[in-house]
Parts: sequence; structure tokens; C-alpha cells
Amino acid sequence: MLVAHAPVEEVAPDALPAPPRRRWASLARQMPPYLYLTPALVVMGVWVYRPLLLSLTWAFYRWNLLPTRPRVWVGLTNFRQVLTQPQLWQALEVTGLYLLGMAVFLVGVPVAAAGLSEGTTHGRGRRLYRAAIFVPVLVSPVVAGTLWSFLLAPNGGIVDRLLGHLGMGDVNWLVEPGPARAAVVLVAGWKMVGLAVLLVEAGLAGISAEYLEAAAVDGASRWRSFWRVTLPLLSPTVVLLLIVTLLLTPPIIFPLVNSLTQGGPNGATTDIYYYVYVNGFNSADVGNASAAAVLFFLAFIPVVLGGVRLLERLSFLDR
Amino acid sequence: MIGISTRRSQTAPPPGDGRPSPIFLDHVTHRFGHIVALDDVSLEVKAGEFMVLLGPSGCGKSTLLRVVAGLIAPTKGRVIVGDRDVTSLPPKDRDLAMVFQSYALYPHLSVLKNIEFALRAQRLPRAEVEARSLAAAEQLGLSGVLNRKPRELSGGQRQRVALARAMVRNPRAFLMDEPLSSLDAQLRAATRIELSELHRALGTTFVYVTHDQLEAMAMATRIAVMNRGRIEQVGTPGEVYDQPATTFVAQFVGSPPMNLMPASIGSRSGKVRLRVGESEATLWDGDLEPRAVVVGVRPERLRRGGERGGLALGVMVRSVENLGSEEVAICEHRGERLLWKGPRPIEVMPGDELVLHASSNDLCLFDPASGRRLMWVPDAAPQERPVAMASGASLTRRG
Repeated sequence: MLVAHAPVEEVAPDALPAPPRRRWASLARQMPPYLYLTPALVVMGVWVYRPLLLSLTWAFYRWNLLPTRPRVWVGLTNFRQVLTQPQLWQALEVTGLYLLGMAVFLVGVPVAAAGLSEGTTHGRGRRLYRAAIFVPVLVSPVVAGTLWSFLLAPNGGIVDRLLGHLGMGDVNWLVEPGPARAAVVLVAGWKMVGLAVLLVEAGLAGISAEYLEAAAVDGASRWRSFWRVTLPLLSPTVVLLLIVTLLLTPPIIFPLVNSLTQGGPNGATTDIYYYVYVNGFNSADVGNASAAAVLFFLAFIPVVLGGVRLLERLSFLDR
Repeated sequence: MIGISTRRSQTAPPPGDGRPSPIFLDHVTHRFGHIVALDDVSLEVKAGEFMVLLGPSGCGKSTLLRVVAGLIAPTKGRVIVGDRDVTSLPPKDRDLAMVFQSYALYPHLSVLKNIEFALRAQRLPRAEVEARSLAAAEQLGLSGVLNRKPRELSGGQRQRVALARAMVRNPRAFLMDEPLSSLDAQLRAATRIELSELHRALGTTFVYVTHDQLEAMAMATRIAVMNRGRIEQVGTPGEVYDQPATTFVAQFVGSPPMNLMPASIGSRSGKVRLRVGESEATLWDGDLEPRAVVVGVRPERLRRGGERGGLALGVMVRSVENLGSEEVAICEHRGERLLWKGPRPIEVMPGDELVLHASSNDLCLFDPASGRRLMWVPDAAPQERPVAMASGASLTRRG
């Protein structure tokens, strides 16, 4: 008789007593994650979500911030008003200019620096350079703004004097529209470029040296190896930097605008954030400011979502 | 005129002419800080040869390969590929192809683009790039996956893409850094055979780094065994296995490794005799002064049956390992471990006591101090003592 080889079935002994369940012990085990999350959730609730909901409701009222004054329901009037104000459109344009300018500092400059310095500086020199370029990030924005308003002062400011030596003096940096916008972007860029360089360095460190070695053996020049290998592999970092630019530019620029130009001259440096602030707190038109903030918030959501989606799609390149 | 043409060939070789080139390493030393990774290494890799650099991790074999590739500049010494001194040339001008341990396939490029990369870097005509890349892909059975990204491939396919990427260049030599180490055992064995066939088909110089002696034995035309930044022995797989130049080679090559035992050697009535414990073996006719040696014998050379004139070693079996086709008995001889390998079943049990015999022809003698192999010079020259074999010395003298 021919018999097929049968798999052996081995059975664990049954009828062992089940371990006792302890309700409180298991509950206590599940607690720590929530405990860790609580402080952050409380802070976010109080300082992010509550104001968000409040401004969402205030957008439909007319009110001047005084607790003693009544809030008047005006429906969509605030939105209609905001959308017809030329100042809003100018603020949008300025915001766009700021974002473009900052993209140069937060994406262009560090990536170009990475390409130029690839494999050239090591050890102490590199650490020193990293530290030097990162210091402005740590300077408080208000301090930076005040400092630069002295440096950029007409008639005797250091920048004015230095440029004077080059025959380019007599620029009234903070008073003429073009130079004022440029000054805001330059100061913001000076302040943030260190962070971007650090992020790019981290991104480069994540790229295995073997890819570049393979490219070198494959006969690629340094230029080609940067464009065809390093940059594509760095693309997740580049997208991250674009998102960082989008998210960090407004809060960095706000205190600088406030201390350098106060939005002037004639609104030339007022971006959408400063516009909301001026409307809300200087003109005490809470309804108007809230409506603008809500509109901007809604317009921002798809932009950020798109960025995050792009980042997820590129993340496979990391390894 | 001759001067100019030589000069041209030194600076701008015709890329990818595929002439298999010899590679010479001339007194190459490399230090990382205080660590000497390569210690005055000289080696000739003949044109069309499959040279395997074999050694334990940290022995400098990968460093040596990288020096050849130009990824590391040696502290001292020269690297010559064909008739060009390439020591100061960047990797891209050396016309060598390299397969990395991790394959280093560009993750953002498709298989085809990966294969084309080197040819595109050379700015060859579009049609030629495509034709050569498709041919290489075809040869390695990658035609079906040309549009996939590396992450969508199996380990074996990635390995083939890495090979195709090297092959398409038609380089002067292939450099391979443990290319099989991330494959599973079955695939590794299959790929080993394919690599040997590829080498035969291309006829190009291969320099192949591995720590796996089985790989080295299976594929190499010659093996360079490395240890601590030096080359211990260069030879065919047979020479390295049968006549290890040092105790290191004896123990590194072979699985299980060669048995080494302290012994003494002397002569009585015109015969040179070797003594291990109470056992004596007659080696050669002649006279010499008594001295201590280390005697080595391969585990599979030991026999249970007796032979006259050989070494008879009384052992006790400690345990038995079943390797499928063979069994290894881990025995104890005079307090030291002695391995005996034989076709299964070898029919011993732990605790058994038996006598194992080794024929005189299967014994290797080493100098206890230097670890170098001792060889008998049979004529009646004034020097009647065994002389240390100076393996590698002939290489070091070249230059």
C-alpha cells in the first residue's frame, strides 16, 4: 500500500487555567499615552481651536472688541466687504511676493549651497559654519526687527554707509515701497536660512553615499550627479522646505513687518496677516478681520493638504 | 608623435572599449587616521581573470576594491589599470564598473534608466544608449521589468539590474563588493553559477570581494586571502585550499577549518619524523635538527581505518553535526578540539573513543611563531631544515 506523507499535527495541551483579568491594572496600563497627550491637547484647545471657532462666529457679526458693546448679526456682509476692499487684494499680492522671496532663501539658497559644498568641507569647519548660520534663527523676531531697523536706517545706518561706498547709497530702505518689501524679505531670509540649511544637511545625510559613489564610477560629472542623483533623492526635503516656507513665512514676517515698517509705506509691506491684525486691533473691526481670516484659512487648507500629499508620495525615495 | 599618442591614451581612453585590462596594485598603503587599513599591498590581477579578495570583515578587502575604483585615494602606492597609472584619476575616468553590496540602484529611476545611466553620462547617441541597454537587460532576463522602480523588484532582480548597469558599460574591469550577500542561500548558489558563466562569456577582468570562502572557492580563477590589511596568500582555489601559506589561511578557508595541533619534528636514522603526542609519522628521507612545529590536517582527510606511516590520533567524540551529505564529529584530542568530517553516516556517537589516521601527504607544517607554512627542500643542500615559504614575497618584490 502506498501512503502519502501526512503532516504531523501537534496540539498544545488544553484546559489550562486562563490567567486572571485585572480590570484596574489593564486600565492603568492604557493611561500613559493619554496622559502624555493631555498637556498638548489642552494648550491647542485653548490657544488654537477656541480662537478658531470664535473668529468663525465673529465673522458674521459687527463688533468693536469692547465687551460692553453689543454684537450685531450682519450675515455675510463682512465677507462681501472684505472681498471688495482693494487693500485685501494688495495684501494678497504682497503675501505672494513674500512667499516667493522666502522660497529663494528657504529652498533655493540651501539647496544650491548643498550642491556647491557637497563633499568639500568636513569636520570642524562645517560645524562652525552650521553654528554661525543658525544663530539668527535663535534671535527673537522683535529683537531682529529692531536691530535691522537701526542697520537699515537712512543717513548713517550701516547698510546705507556700506552701500554708499559701492555707490549705491541713498536708498531709503524702509520708506520706499520696493526696497521696504525687499528689506522685509531679506531680514526674514537672514533669520530663517539657517534652519533650512540644517534641514537640507539632514536630508543629505539621509542619502546613502553609495548612490553618489555609484554615479561617480558610472562616469557622471559632479554637476550631473547633483542634478540626476542628489537632487531627486533630496526631493522629499525640498517639498518639506516648500511646506515649511508656506507655513513659517507669515508668522516670521509678521513681527518683522510690525517692527520695521508697520505695514507701510501705504500698505506696501502689509501682507494678509498684518492686514487682519490691523483691521481687528487697530480699526477694531472684529467682524471684518474675522471674515478675512476665515477666508484665508479656507484657502490655505487645500494648499497645505496638497503639499502633504506630495510629501507622502515622495517619501519612498528616502531609503 | 609617439609622445602625443601615449599622452592621449593616458588622459582620454576610448570609453567602454571592453578590452579586459590587467590591474596592478603597487605597494598600496591606506590609513584612516591611525588605523592601517591597507599595509603595503601589492597584487597583480591578470587580464580576464576572476580575482576574489577573500577575508574576514575589517581585513581591508573592501578598502582595496575602493582604492581600485578611485573612491578612496591611497595614502601611498600606485594603481595601474591596463597601461595607465590611474592613481590620481577620479573614478569616472577609470573606465571600471562597480557592483555595490547594496546595489546602489538609483531609487527614483526605472530599471531601464538605471541601466542607461552610465551611457547617458558618456553622452552617447540616443539610439546606441537604448540598443546597448536593452541588450544588457535582455541578457540578464530583465526585459519584463524595464519600467519598474528598484523598490518594486525582488532581491535577485535588483542584483541583476546592478549587473546590467555594470555590463552595459563594457568596462575594462568589473569590481564587485559582496554582491551576493543580501540574497538568500538558494538564490546565492544559483547566482554564483550565473556570475561564473557571465565572466566566461564576457572575458573581462573581475575583482570580487567576499568574506564567504565558499563563494571564493566556487568562482575564482585566483584568490587573494587578506588579513589585517595584508595579503596572506594569492593562488588558485586549489592551491589556497591544499597548500595554505599561513595558519590564518588554513583556518579561514575550508568549512570546517583545518585542524591545527602543536607538534615536534626531528630525524631518526635518516628519516624525518613528526610527533604529535605519542603518535609518530614518517615524513621524508633526510636529517634535521629537532624543532617545534604546528601540524595541520583537513577534517575530511582524517580516516578511521589505519594506514602505516601516517599519524594516528586517539580521540573522544564530543558531538556530531549532521550536514546532510556529510557529518562532522567534534572530537577531543589531548584536550584540544579536533574535527573529523566524513560522508554520512560516519557511525559514531558522542562518548565514543576511536583512532583517526592522517596520511603523511595530507599534513601541512607551519612555523609556530610566524604561522607561515614550512616546506621540505629535499636535496642535500647545506640548508636541511624546512624553510619558511615566503608567500606574497614574490608579489611584494614586483614593482
